[in-house]
Amino acid sequence: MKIFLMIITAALMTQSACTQVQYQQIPGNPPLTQSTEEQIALASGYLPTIDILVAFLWPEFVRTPQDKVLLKEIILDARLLKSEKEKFQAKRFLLKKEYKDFECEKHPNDDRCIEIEDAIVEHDGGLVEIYRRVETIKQNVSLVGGEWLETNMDYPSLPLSSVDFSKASLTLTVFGKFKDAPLAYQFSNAKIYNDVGFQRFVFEAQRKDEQGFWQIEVAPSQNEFSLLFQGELYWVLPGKTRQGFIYWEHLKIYD
Amino acid sequence: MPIILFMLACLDAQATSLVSRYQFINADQLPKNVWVAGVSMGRFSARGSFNQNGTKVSNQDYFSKNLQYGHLLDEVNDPLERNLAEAAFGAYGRALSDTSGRVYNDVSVEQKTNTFILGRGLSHRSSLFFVFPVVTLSTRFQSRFVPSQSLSQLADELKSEGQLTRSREIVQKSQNALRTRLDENNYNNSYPSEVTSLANVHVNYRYQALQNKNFKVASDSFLIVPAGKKFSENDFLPMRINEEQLSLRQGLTAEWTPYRPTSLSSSVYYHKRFAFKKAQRIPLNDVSPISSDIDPDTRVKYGDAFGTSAQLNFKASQSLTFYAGQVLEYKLRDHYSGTRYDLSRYDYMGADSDQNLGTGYLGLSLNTIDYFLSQKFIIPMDLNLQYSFANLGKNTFQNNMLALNVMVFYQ
Repeated sequence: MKIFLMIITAALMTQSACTQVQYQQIPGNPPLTQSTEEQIALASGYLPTIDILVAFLWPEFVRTPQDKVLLKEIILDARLLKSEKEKFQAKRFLLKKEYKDFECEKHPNDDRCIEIEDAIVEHDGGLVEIYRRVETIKQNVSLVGGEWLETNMDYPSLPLSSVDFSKASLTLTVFGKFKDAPLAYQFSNAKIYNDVGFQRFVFEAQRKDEQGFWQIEVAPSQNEFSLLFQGELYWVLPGKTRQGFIYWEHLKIYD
Repeated sequence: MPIILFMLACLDAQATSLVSRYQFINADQLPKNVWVAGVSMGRFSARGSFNQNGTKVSNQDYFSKNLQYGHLLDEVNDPLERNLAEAAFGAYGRALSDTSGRVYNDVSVEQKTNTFILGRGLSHRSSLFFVFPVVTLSTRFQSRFVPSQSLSQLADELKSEGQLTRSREIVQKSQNALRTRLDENNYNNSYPSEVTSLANVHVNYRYQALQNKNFKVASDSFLIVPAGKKFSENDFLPMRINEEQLSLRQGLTAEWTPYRPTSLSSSVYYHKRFAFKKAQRIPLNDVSPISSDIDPDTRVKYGDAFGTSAQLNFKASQSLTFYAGQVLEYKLRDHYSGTRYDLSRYDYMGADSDQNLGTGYLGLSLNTIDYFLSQKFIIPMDLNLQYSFANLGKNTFQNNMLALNVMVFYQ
C-alpha cells in the first residue's frame, strides 16, 4: 500500500512539475508598406524647382552644456525660418495679386502700379533677413561640430535644384562641396512608403567625396504658398550612420 | 494529521512575495514510522492590490504611472538622439518636468497551486517532510500609454510645421509604447500568459520541544531549495516563482487547550534569505524598469520575511474541527547593488518591495484517523477546506483563496 501511494505521489508530482509556459505577444505597430505609386501626391500646382534648401549633419557627439544650448538654437532658428518664409510668401502673394488685379502688366506706368512694384521690390529685400537666419543656422552647426552642406544659395549662378514629381527623382545641382568645387547628385527611383495620412520618401545616392552613401528620408506637406519636404538626412557608412536634417521648399504656381 | 496542514501554510506559492495563502497552525507531531502523502489544492485570483499606503486600489491604479518628458528622454538609447530630443522639447516650450502622459497597466493574476507532500515520523518527537508546490499562474496584462494634452499638442504642432515623420513618431510610440520599447531594448516581445512550474522544494524538520496535557510547543526548521522556472533579464515581466537561492526558515508554534473542545494556537516565524548574483536589467529611472543596460553581476538580496499568527479551534466532534485565525506577515525591502552603473539606479529596483500582509481565514477539518483506528472507516485521512482573505496589506495583491487538502496516512 505504501509503495503504491509513493508511486502515485511521485507520478503526480512529475506530471505536474514539468514546466510549461504559454506566451502572449505584446502587439506592435504594423510595418510601413511600400507604395506602388511612382508619383508624388500633392505635387500638382507647384514649381518643380527648389526655392530654398537647408541640409546639415548633426555633430557626432554633444559634449558641453553650451553645445546643448546651440542645438536648441538651431532648432528654434529652423522653426523661425519656416514661419518667416511663410509670412514673406503670404505678403508677396497679396502684392502679386494686387499687381494682377490692377492689370499692371498692361499699364506699368500707372501710379498705383508703380507703388505696387516699389512695394514688391522693398518686400523682396526682406529675403536678406531670411538668408541671414540661414547663415545663423550654418554658423551654429559649425560651432557645435556638425557638417553644413552647401546648396544653391552658396552658388547662385548654377541651375536650381529640382524634383521630378512624376518619377519621384531628386536632382541636387549643389549638395556639399569638395575642394571648393560644388558637388551635384542625382537621386533616382525613390522608395515611397505609405504612412497614416502621408507618404514617406527615401532617396539614396553614393557619396562622391567620402565613403558611404546619402540617404534622405522626407515627407511632403503643404501650406498655403509652398510644398515643403522635411525630414532626416543620413550619411550611411559601414558600421556607422551619421544623422542630420534636411528641408526644402517648392513654391506654388500662381495664375 | 493537522501537522501536515500547518506545513502547507508555510509555503509561499509565489516565492519572495507575500501572498494570501493557505494557513493552519498546529503543534502536533507525526507518530514514529508513520508515512503521510497528500495534496493541497488552492485557487486565488488577484483582482486588486494594497498600495504603498495600505489602501485598497485596483491593479490598474497600482501598476500605472505618470510620465514626464524627462522620462521620455531616458528611453532614448542613442546619446545624440537624446540630446536632440531634449533640445527639441526646449525649442517647443516643454520642460522636462512637464507631464507627457500616463502608462496604464491592466494586470490580473490567477493562481492555482497543487502542493504535494511526503513525510515520515522519525521518532516520537521528530518528523521530516518534503513538500513540492506546483504553481500555475495565469496572467492577463495590457499596457497602453495615454499622452497628455501637452504631448498631443506637440504632435499637432510638429504636424502643422511639416514635421510629419516626427509627429507620427510620437503618435506611434503612444499607440504601442511598450512593444516599441521592448524591441528597441532587445527584450522578448511576449510575456508568459500561463506558467506551470514547481515552486521550490521545501524540506521541513519538525521537533516537538514540549508536550503535556494542555500545552504543546513545536519547532519547525525549513530548508527551501530553489527550483522551478526562472526568467531571464530579457523577460520584461519576470515572475518570481523560484527563490533563486537557498534560504532558511525557522518557526515556533504553541498550542494551548485550556478547555476542551476549544484550543488556541499561535506561531511566529522568520525566513532568512541570502544574497546571490545574477544578470539584471538596471533601470534608468523610478518609473520604467525597461532598460538596455545589463549588469551580469548584480548582487541581489531578496528581503527577509517574518510573521505571527493566532488561531482558535473548536472540535465539534471526534472527527470535525472548525477554526478561524489571523496572520500578520512582513517582508523587508529587496536590495540590489553592483559596480557597473550608478548605485541609485540599482535602488530603483527595490522600490516598493517592502510588504506587509494580514490574512484572515476560516476552515473546517474532517479527520478519520480515530475512526480508522477503531475500524469504523477504511482510510486514515484528513480533509481540510479553507477560505482565506487578505484584510490588510502594503505593496501586495489583495486576494482571496479557497483551498482543499487531502492527506492519507499509512504505516
